[in-house]
Amino acid sequence: MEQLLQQVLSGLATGAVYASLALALVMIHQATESVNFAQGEMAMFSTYIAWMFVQAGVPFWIAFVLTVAISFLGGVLIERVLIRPVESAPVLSQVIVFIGLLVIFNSTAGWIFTYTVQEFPSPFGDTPLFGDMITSSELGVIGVTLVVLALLYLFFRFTPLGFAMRAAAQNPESARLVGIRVGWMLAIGWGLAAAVGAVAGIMVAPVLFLDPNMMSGVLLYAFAAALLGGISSPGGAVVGGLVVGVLENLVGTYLIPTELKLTVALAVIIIILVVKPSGLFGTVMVKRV
Amino acid sequence: MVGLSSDGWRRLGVLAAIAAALALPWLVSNYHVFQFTLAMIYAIALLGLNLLTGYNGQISLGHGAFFAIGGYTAAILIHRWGVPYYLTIPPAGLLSFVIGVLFGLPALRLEGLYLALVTLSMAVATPQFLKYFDSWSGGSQGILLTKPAAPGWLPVGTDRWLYYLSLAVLILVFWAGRNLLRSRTGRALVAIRDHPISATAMGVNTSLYKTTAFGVSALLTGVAGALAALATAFVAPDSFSPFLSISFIVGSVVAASPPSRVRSSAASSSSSCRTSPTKFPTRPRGRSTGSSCPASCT
Repeated sequence: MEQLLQQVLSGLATGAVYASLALALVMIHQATESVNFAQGEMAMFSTYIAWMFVQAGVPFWIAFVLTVAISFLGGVLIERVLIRPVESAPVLSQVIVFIGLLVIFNSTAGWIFTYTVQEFPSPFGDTPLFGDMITSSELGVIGVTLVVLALLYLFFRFTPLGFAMRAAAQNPESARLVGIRVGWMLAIGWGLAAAVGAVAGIMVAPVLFLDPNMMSGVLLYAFAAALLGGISSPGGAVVGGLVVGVLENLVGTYLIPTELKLTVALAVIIIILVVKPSGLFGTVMVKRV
Repeated sequence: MVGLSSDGWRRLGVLAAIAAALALPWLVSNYHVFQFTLAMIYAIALLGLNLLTGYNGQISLGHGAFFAIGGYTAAILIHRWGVPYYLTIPPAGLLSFVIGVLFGLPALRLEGLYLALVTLSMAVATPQFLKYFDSWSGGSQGILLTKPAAPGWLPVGTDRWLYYLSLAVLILVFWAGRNLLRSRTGRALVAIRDHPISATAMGVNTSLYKTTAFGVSALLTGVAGALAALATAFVAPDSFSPFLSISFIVGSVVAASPPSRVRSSAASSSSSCRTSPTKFPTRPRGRSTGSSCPASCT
């Protein structure tokens, strides 16, 4: 029983990371109806930036804030320069652009930082808490994620900019008519997604260690999380992330060997998409012929 | 020579290309022969991917998985049962076909973005999956094979023999692929890509063609995988990373761009081709568009 609780708690910690990345995916999907396949690699690259700062002797939390800010600007820049031209292109072209981004980030990271696996410091130490129930780093990850989610919620719910962004995502034409600069709202959405992804990357790096391919598995779980919660629902993505994290841990501990975890995630994705494409909390999409 | 039609010129070009390909291994070093062999093998895989993504409009970011299935089928057959290497290519293709069709079934319900997402996930999961069955797949170590030698009556070295073997398969599958795409099936595939609803309305069995396209595409990629296993004499999970699948799609975008929408819609609707659209579903098999058509139709 104690082991079960332990597994659930550490599952919540990884789940929090999946939730952040899934939320980043959902934010971009809401604004543009496409899935950013490069989200994981962007997060990986941000993590390398944080690592660089830490290596240079910058205190962890300052490096954290700097990285999140740089990622935000990077996200805005990518939207303006690369995504904007294909905004209304067919799905295949968009997917190819995302895949191109993925490759660019992965190989640039390999080129600059080499493919050697690097250790990434955890700001929370690794002391067991509450009678070995949870480690301080796991608790820290959950805490940071919750803070980020709360900030995002407050931003979208109570600030004029957040309102404008939601309006631009929901109904671009009307938003434009009332004077919202829809293009810039999308760019800011990309920036925010990149920033949230950076948080996810920094949080998961001490566990997974840092290398250019660090995020591919995490991205798969984030897909599963976003789809489980419903890709049109930000809250759903968070719940989905936590559920996937806990399930991954429990299934991995009790049912199947570690090597099959990703395959199970793949199966989950297929089953959700085939049986209930709108996920648990998403709205059902109706397509007009 | 002046009197050749455009079709004749094309045939001449193809013959010249084949002649050049036959002569090539005697002109470059063994290492380059090996590289050309790999290039041809990737061309076979790209043909498979292009059939699915380019002609049928189903995005796959996970064809590395089928490449892996083909490669591992060949390697396991040789390594465990001592099957002669040339007999491993058909089962590799066949198994890939079956798995491709099985994968094509859920893919029927997935469109564009979601299919891309699922196939990318498949690409990510492949290496781990291969490591799990380590009693069969040799785990992360993979399986080491010996390069097949040329049959005794043929005075060529191993590398050149593999080159010619791959070239033969390449010519065979491109010939078959060309015929397939020119047939009723090929037109159905393009019609489904361009306008699935009208295709259905015209009596094209969308589900059947889409799953078949997935199967055939997987078959070709599996055959390529088997050839790659023979050529490199080695398979390991890490050779089938997601980046293999991604390089396939990149290759497909860069090199093998499918006929554009405009050209293909001209092919399916034009009266200048003397193929009235209403006849489409009932046309007999074979080269129905014929060489009397303008080049834009083929």
